Amino acid sequence: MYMLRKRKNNTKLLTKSRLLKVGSLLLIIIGIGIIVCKYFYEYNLDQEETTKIDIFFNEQTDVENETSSLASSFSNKNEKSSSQSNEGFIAVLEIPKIDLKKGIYSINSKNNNVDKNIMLLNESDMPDVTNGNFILAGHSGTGYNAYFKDLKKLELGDSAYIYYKNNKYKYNLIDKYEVEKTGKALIIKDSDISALTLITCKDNENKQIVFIFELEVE
Amino acid sequence: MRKNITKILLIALAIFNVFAFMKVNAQTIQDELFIDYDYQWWVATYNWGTTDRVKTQEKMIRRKSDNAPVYCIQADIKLISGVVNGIVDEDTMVSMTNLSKEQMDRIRLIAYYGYGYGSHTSPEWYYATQMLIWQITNPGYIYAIEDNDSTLTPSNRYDSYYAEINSLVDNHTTQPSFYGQKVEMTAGNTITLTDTNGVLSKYYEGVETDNYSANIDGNNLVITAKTGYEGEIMLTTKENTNRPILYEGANQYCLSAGDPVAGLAYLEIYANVPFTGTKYYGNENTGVYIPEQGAVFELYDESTGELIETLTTDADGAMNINLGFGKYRLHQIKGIESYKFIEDYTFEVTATQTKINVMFKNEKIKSDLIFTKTDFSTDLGLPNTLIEIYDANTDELVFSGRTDEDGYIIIKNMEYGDYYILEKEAPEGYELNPDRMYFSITEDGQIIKVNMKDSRIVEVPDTSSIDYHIFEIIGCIAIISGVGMYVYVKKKKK
Repeated sequence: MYMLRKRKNNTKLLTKSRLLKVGSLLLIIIGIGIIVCKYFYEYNLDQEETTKIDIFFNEQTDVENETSSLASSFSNKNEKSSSQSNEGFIAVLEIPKIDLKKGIYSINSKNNNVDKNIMLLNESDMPDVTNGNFILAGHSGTGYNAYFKDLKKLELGDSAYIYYKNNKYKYNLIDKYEVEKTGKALIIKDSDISALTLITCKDNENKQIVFIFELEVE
Repeated sequence: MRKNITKILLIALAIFNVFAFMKVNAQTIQDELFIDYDYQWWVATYNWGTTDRVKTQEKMIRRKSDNAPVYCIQADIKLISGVVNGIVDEDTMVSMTNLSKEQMDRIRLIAYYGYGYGSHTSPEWYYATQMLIWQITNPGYIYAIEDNDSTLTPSNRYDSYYAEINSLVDNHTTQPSFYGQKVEMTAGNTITLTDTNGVLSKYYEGVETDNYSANIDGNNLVITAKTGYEGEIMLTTKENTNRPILYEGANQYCLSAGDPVAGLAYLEIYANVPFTGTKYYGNENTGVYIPEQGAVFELYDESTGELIETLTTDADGAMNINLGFGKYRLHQIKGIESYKFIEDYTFEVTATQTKINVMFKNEKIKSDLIFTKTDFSTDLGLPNTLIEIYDANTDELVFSGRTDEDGYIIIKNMEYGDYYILEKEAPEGYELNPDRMYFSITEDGQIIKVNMKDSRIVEVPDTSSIDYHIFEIIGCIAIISGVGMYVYVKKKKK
């Protein structure tokens, strides 16, 4: 009886040990999987971004009918634009100094979200609007989506480019200033220039930095 | 004697033919002349060639055609029954040809200024004139004249006649002392000019036109300018309308006593017109205006542009100047700072004016303000911006309002002053401009444009992105936990 009871206990222990061993292996696999999936996801996003940029440049000639101003977008918000339907970019921002090349979604796109991409603000004009202001906001920090994390490295005179409707617009940085992070930012731009405005956060401070670029007129 | 008469008649006929051009109207002298017995006087002469005094009764001779008085060149020539008679001594008979030009000129003037000239209408003037002529043609023979006194007592009864005629003759070419002068006066005023040469009596007593009157009062010329006037005043000498005749009995012919050209005495008058400009300042709404003292004006000759005078208003706001004919322009250069200056005032002074009174009323300087509120970045007008305008000196609120749909506020007729604008409410999406924007209204009728720009405020999402590496941490925890469990199971198994 004692032996039978002992054998029964040993069998229970063996089963428990096996379960723990299997569980530990599962935990290891899950942990590795989480890490791998995250990096794989980010890798895919990069690949997708690269692909969309390539598509953007390839299809530049096909986007002539893209709305040229936000006014038209605002007036017909329910109407999805062509870029919105295929989730393509309407423009591409390139800043060679910080090795940034990022697509811009149309104003009404669900992807026009600062947590996902560089965000085109509602008050923005498109680059082809004379004396307009193309305003973009992007994250700084440590996240994957901190596309503007290196903007702080820019100095006056540095160049940025916007590709839009088969045109390449070259801008030069003419001013940068800080504003309190209140959800609103004051845009100070002379009325007689066409501008590109980039807005992002200042690291470790409750402030935002506004970068004003002036279109270089050929 | 008969021989002499025949001789005289023959000579007279011959001379008549020769001097027909002298407009002697009668066929013969005898037919032409007659004795006017209303004019008789006694004259005492000396016999020619002797010292005996002879009393004769003289009579006036006239021309039949016009009753013109006739003066004999020769003394004591008589007409008896229309026939020349009474030549006392043919040897001493004076002929015109024996007289010098000066003598003849004087005789002519004596005859002209004698009987019949001006008020010289009584017989005494004829007697005195004849006697003065004889004193030239027969000096020393004429002694005295009396009216009808057989005693021939010398008297000074005719001295005044002689003196006046001689004075007129002597001053025949003398002009009044102010002859040719330029006299400035003011319309409505009277001036008196005194003739120091004493010849005003030669002229008719006065002239009167629409512009002036000039009257002779003794030795004075009294001029009254009725209106503005620039020109001459002409005084006309009196004339002997009944021109006398000189008769030379010896040759039986008549000559005109002369026709002295009627003289004109002129002087130039500049009768300026008094100009009075009165400057007021006030409020057209209340109608209350106050004389402005110390306002300064420049008066220009409009045709030449030359500055004539700088005028300053007195305590009554008035400036005064007398102006000759012409066009003028009044330009204000100084006045109360906050009030308008007059627009250049152009006017003309003419002969029709007696005075010019002009009133200038000016109100405070006002201008229109056009305020615009625009987007700093686009210059587009911003509606619904609440602004307030304050007096910069008193901080008193003078205006409060919102911009219209185009971003405009237009304020008409803002008065002179310094102001500042405050933005009280910015349009949605724009930053409130906290600065005072100053402007001044210093000139009238201007359009003051003030633009206030607001910078746009855009809505910005939170752009901070911190990656806490949750997935990596979870993954690592899972791995570590699995490894730990595995090691634990291994050890326990042993």
